[in-house]
Amino acid sequence: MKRGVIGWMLVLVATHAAVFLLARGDATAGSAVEGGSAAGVEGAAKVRDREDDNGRSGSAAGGHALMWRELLAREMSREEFSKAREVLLRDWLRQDLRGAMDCLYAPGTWASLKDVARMLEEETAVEMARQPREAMEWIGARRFGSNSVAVFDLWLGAIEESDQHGLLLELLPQAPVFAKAEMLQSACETADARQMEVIRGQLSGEFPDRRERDLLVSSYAERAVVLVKGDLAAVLKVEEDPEVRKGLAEQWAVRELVDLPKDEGVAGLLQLPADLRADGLGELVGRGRPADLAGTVELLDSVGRHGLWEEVTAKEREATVRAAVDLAVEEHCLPGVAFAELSRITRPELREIALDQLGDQVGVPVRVEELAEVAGGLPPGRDRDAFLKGVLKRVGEWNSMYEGIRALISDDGVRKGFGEGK
Amino acid sequence: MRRGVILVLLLASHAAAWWLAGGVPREVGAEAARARASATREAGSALDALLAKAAGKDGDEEQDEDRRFRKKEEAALAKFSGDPAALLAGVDGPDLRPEDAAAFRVWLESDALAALRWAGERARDHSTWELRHGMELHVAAGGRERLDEYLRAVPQAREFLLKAAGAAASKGGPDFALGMAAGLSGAGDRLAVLTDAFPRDPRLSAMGGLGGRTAVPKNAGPGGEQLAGHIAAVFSLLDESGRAAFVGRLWEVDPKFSLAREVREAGLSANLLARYEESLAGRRRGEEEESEWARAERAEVEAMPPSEWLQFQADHPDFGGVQGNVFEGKVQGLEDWCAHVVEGRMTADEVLARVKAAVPEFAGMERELRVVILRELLPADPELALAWLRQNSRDWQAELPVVFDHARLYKTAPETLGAAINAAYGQEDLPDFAWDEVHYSWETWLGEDREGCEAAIRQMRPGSLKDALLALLEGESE
Repeated sequence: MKRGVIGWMLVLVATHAAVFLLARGDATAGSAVEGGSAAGVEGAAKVRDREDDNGRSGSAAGGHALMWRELLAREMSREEFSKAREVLLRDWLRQDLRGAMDCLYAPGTWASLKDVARMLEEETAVEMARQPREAMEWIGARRFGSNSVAVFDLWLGAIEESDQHGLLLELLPQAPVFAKAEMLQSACETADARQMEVIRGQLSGEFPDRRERDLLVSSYAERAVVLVKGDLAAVLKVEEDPEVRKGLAEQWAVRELVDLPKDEGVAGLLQLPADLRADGLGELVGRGRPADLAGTVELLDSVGRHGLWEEVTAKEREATVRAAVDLAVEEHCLPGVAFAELSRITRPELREIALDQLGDQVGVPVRVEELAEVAGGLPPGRDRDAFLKGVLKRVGEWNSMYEGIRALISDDGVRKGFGEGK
Repeated sequence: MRRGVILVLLLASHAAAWWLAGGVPREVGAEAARARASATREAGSALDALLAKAAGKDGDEEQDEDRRFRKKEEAALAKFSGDPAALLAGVDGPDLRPEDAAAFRVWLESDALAALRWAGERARDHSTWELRHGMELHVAAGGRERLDEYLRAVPQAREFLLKAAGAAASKGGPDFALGMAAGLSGAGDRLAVLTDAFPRDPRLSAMGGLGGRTAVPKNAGPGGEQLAGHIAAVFSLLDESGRAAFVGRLWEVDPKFSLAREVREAGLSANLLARYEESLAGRRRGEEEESEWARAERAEVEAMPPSEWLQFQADHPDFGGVQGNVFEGKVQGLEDWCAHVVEGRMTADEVLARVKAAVPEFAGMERELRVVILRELLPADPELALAWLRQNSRDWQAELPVVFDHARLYKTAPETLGAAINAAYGQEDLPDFAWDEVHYSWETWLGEDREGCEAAIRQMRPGSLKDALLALLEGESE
């Protein structure tokens, strides 16, 4: 062979290759979002062909992209196709996670694949748990476009499920902004003292979304209280941020007081610094056992006995009583029984708030006729008036029984405060 | 002469390289996909092998985590030795091993109260799902007699105990459940056990919420068969509050109200009976309204001439009132064909031809038929759908609002939708309807992942959509 011929052949190979690559590049240009794997599955397949380099992907990876194309070209019934598609994607996920995820989640992928992706979430999560660092890299680089958030949720679930919480703080710097708060929150679940310090440091940073910080504060506080085994004073001593202090008091109350007999639980609030007692009380009321009227009365009276009502504002007092009643009154309650229970509340002004709330909050299944009948059988007076006020709010002035119920109010001033029925 | 041949050959081979790489503009149809696939014949046999392997494994379902755990738990129980209290005292962390669950079972048999105190303490910080099975077995066996004692001695384990007791009661049958409830001193505990023992009719949960006009499915069998013959016994075990709660949920235990007679004869108070009658009447009313509404609609649709019918179909994309999709009833498989189009196995023209053949009465209504097809295609692959529309309609831009109006686009990714809109309008002014369709999905993305979304917008091709999205960005940051 002459040297010239070889030279020409090399040139030919090069020009063919150039044309080939040029054509590939062009095919992705139809999409508005340039860069990355823009043209969906086609693009995804191409990305794979070009980047068959990573560890376990190897040559099998390109193989799955080709099998995918082969499958698409086959004549088969919809049912057969769906089954085959599932089989192929399952295997693809196991052999070449990134390639399979490109197919399922890359920008521009068909909307119909969303359902398939959802069906294969468990498999995807299991594989991501095996390659958590790589998967976070793809998420951070927005490889999956607008699906990145969904993929992150799946990733976080996979990390939690596989008990790899320790990775969360390590990968935090790489994580996209939207993911950080949730990762920190999840890291709290198993954090040790050293990790808690890191998380606490992050709490001093900026949070674009206030609610995210609130959630993180309560996760942090929940864990902190577990770690000190209830010795709240130890953490409060070194904590100055008022919101974190509030969170600590709340989570401490949840862990230490909610399950105690009511009086002991309320007494326990006194262990809190005075400025945090209202926060603890809020949890004691809000996390009580639902549908427990007797317990609610006991709780509210106990708060009075321990002098705690004087430590909160009138507005907080009212909100606390209403919240307690909402929790205690069941959808299917018996209004007469509930009235009898709640009228045992010692303090008149709190009792009236509670009875008003009862009348207003009784569930739909309780008929207006039944309410009117119960109210009619009660002794007239301030308690009944309070209850009737609530009932009128619930019934509404268009109801035919409204006037009859209004007429039962014994206090002229209160009665006139309500308009006539329509 | 020879030179000419070489030149032609060179051109042809370069063209082949171009074509192989998919450099031809994207065809709307199957030809391209078929051609591509021929180059991947080896992939075909690999795919066959994979499918054959999977077919062999059919029926060998993977067991769920719960069952795998149980199996290991039984094995650990069989060979357990040692002191369960000492073993479990050393357990820390969120998860229990099957060995721990086995130890708990051994402990329950030797010193149930101590085991429960440990479980109640653990329940404060962790899930106790691993222990529930053993607890349920214990209650189902001899533990039923001691359940009341457990509940009073270890109040912190109440929820855990009642869950296990309820599971045992629902599996043990009505007599077992009633016996269990009768042994409990707390009225609330009795209610909890009986509620679990007579659960909501499973045929209801499959339908999701049962609000508004939705009626009980016609094919639902006699609900609450478990409860038949036991209603008076249940009521006698409950206090008035408990009865009120139980009556309040009777409609979901017995959705067909086949037990109405028994309920009426069970000695309920007047008020509770009135509540029951009210719920029964409400449901009957709902069912009647439903069937009346459906009858009227069917009559109306059936009386329509073909052209109106098609228009009705196009205007009611979600219409499913009478017998599923009216159009689907006529044209079996439209959805499947459109899926084939997206996957490159069929062309949109082929679909149109099939639809025409299926509904000869719609001859000459090509434009309307196209809308019906585009309604399926657009959400799945907007670019392909718009390219097809463009090929077939001279004033295709004028048709866009109609097409968009009838498509369900909520599953379509913002960048996909954006690309299609961009391709349709480029530098032209973006009409309001097109903006309405895209901006919600972009706004959602922006809210979830500002950085990612912003980067995608900045990388977009210049055009009226990009300008609009940039304005959205600025509006957000103000």
